[in-house]
Amino acid sequence: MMDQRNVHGSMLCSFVLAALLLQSIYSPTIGAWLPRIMELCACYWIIASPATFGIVFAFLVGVLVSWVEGSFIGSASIGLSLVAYVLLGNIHTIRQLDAISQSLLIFLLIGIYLACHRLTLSMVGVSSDGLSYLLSATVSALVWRPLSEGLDRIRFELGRFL
Amino acid sequence: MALVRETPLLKTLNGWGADISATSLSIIEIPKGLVQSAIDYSESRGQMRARIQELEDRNLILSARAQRMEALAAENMRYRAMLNSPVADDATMTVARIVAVSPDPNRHLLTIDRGERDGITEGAPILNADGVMGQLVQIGATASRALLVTDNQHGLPVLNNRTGQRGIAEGVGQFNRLLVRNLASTSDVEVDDLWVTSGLGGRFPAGYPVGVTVGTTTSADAAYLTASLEPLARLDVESHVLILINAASE
Repeated sequence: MMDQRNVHGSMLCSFVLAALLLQSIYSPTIGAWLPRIMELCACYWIIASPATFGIVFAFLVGVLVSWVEGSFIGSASIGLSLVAYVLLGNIHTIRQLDAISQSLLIFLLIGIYLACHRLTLSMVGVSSDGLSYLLSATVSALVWRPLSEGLDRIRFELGRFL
Repeated sequence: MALVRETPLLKTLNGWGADISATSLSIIEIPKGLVQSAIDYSESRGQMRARIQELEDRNLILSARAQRMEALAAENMRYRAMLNSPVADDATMTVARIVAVSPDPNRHLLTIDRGERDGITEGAPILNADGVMGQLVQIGATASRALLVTDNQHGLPVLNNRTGQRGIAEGVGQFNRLLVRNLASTSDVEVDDLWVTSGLGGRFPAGYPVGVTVGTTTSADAAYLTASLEPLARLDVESHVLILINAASE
């Protein structure tokens, strides 16, 4: 698909940028509406390069997400590993999907991931606020297409440049 | 997972998380800072004068209040001496800026720009001009994270300022709500009652305002009363907080 040489460098860059973006939120009241950018990046890299990035990668991204959020470390990992498993199992189908179906799939996966996240957090006593995470999953699905195309574009330019 | 929540390694890691969060935010804010300084530069002289006048007026009012406050504090100390109770020291305070909030809507965490190097410790209470905000839970070298009183894992010992009744104010995950559960159903709780910290538990010093009652509900079997409070400190709009440094020794 793409040049594999600098895939690790690009991957790291995208996560550092996503983590920076995540930190720039100032009002906690809009928290429920925000897209899950780091998780979307993980999905993007798994779809783009399934031979390099797998379930362990997703697990580590989960650790990173909970670390950056200041939440209980590892609480996001199980859900994200599950998402990676589903993606890797159907990778060829998913790559062929059109924009709308792919966004719907992302809605479903991020929804499952967030439900798992709530479930894990509830085990350590953080009660959930109902179905508000579906907002975040919807916004993530809407953001998915621009994000993946933008990342494709950046990677292409970087590959030509480096 | 519950077993590994409190290991020293994870505490250190969480501290680094707070540090990195503060550092990355200062990187993001570079352009914003440039725009702000340009705006400040172009602010006219007249506006500046008006603002200085306003601040001077306010300073006068506040210093008048402080004088009365000093007299009252001295009086209070004499009474305490008469009662043989330990005289409370003034807590040392330090001002910190909120640099980030947790993106996870289920956790009410703030990142502030003071850390171990500024002499703060885990569990130090934070407040603002209006009331108690929360306590510090993750300490990094130059930044730390605070759990707000409204987080649903937070409980705060309070008492009703009018009647002296004690209770525990629990967060429910909403920024404008705290609940005092399991009060006796005959308790005297009215709307607009002020609740202050009771000092029980030794973490928060006594007497800081927490919230006012906005309503009460009685359980179905009429055995218990639940009071809902609205926190006085506006938790989602403030940009600076006060950290009490030696509060725990009171």
